[in-house]
Amino acid sequence: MTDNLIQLLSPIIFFISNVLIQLIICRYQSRMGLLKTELTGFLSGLLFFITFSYIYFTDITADTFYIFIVDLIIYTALSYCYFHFINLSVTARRIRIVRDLYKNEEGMTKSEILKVYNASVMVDNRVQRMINSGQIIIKDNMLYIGKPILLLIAKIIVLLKFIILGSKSLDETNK
Amino acid sequence: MIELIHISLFVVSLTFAYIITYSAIEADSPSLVMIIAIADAGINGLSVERFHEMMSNDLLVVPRLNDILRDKLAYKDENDKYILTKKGKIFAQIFTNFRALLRIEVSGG
Repeated sequence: MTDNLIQLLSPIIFFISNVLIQLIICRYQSRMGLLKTELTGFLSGLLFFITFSYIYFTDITADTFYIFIVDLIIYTALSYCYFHFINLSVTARRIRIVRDLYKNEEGMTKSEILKVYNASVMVDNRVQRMINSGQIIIKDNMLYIGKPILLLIAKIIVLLKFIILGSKSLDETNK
Repeated sequence: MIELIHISLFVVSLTFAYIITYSAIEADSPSLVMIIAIADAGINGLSVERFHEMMSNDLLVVPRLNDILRDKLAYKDENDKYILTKKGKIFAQIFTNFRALLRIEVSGG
């Protein structure tokens, strides 16, 4: 019974440790980028989880091992959701617009919204990030692909979009 | 009983992961739209001017305004002003407070 309870609670506890570590690093030091704090939190929680499982479950049976795998999947899935939640807070357009509306209780017209947040702002934010990370290169006022990681992710998203939504291109839903 | 809760936790965590992935796939990420546009230009590259022309408000911002209305996070009043609903205010508060907790200063978006 105790072992079952510990196996149930351990992915949750170590997920919480992931979140706390990430929060503390993010709040109290400014040198590490947000992505690195997320990675540090995830890896720390994972390390604690694996170490704890190794120490506590001295008698490793097939059942214990399979439940460990299930718990690893739970921990990873929860951490993945948290990772996306942080990224949504920073980059999501809807959330940016809703936050702008929240600051303006009397409401905003479409043109007022577009004055503070528009494609130009969005492009500038993102292009600079992509240049800094080497994903795109700018030379003689021309843009080129640099490191292909983001392009690979984009192609995977296009594929997933086709499988799940039946859309053939990234901007088809906007047509 | 504990096994049932454990199975539920497994299913729920994977479901949340799927939901969050689905919403990321459904709403085209501007970064990915940009990178595909640059890649499609091939070895000749894409001029910055042409790039800015392609990345218009109609492509990147207006669909999200429509989503906000569709999802009832805001409504339009008689002056065509977007005003947050109660749901929208709660939504905004959650992210505003979370950003404050992380001390995120960039305006984002």
